[in-house]
Amino acid sequence: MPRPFKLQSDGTFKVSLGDHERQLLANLAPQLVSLLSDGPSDPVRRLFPTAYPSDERLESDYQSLVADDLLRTRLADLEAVETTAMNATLTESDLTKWMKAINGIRLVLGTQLDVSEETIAPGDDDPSAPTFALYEYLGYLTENIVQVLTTH
Amino acid sequence: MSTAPVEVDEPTSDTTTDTNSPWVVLVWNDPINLMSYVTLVLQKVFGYSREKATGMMLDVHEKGRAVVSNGDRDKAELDVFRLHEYGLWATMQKDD
Repeated sequence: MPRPFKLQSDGTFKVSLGDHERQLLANLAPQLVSLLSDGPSDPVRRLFPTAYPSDERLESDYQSLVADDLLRTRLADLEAVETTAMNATLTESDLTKWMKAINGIRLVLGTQLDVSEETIAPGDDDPSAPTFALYEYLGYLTENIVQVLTTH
Repeated sequence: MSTAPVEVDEPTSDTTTDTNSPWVVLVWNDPINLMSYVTLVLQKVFGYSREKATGMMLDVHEKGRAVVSNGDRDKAELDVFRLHEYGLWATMQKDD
């Protein structure tokens, strides 16, 4: 099986993913866009971390200052995944957006699954098994993007 | 660990708005972000060498948190924001 992302001599990255994997990403990205567009909610809270854990006033100032920018960046990253999901090659800029977007989806799924460092894969009959499998797959993609961007 | 920085000592320093005082930016351990991802983000955001970023990531992983940058309040806040863009669990507090 080829590595999913490979640096080419022209500085772009070759994407070796199957159509079903690409379709999965093209479907997941707008799902998170939709969740984010609904405003603050438990599933997406992890994407807007606290800057000042011990000062409510500064925290409130921080959130009002950056929340829109954080949201805008998230949406742009996810939209880049949706529009380039079928591409044979990606620029470094696009692949970085993929990494942030895929990791963002992992953060939402991992929070939903309440994963810890001791978490082991649920059994096949566990209702959370499909979500966990997706979470693991996105971790595999993230790891591979990190590797190829790190050696770049 | 959980997605909130709960099991290690909570920041307790007073947080006045004196923007000239030094602030530190902390990254907290979380069970979702991959170790390699945290290292790459520290390299990208701060321009740290791979060695330095890896050392900080290992501190986060083993000690629960690590100071990754410092500066005046505006700089620290920008650093926190850039880490939040990557989904890292970053906070800031006055340097004691």
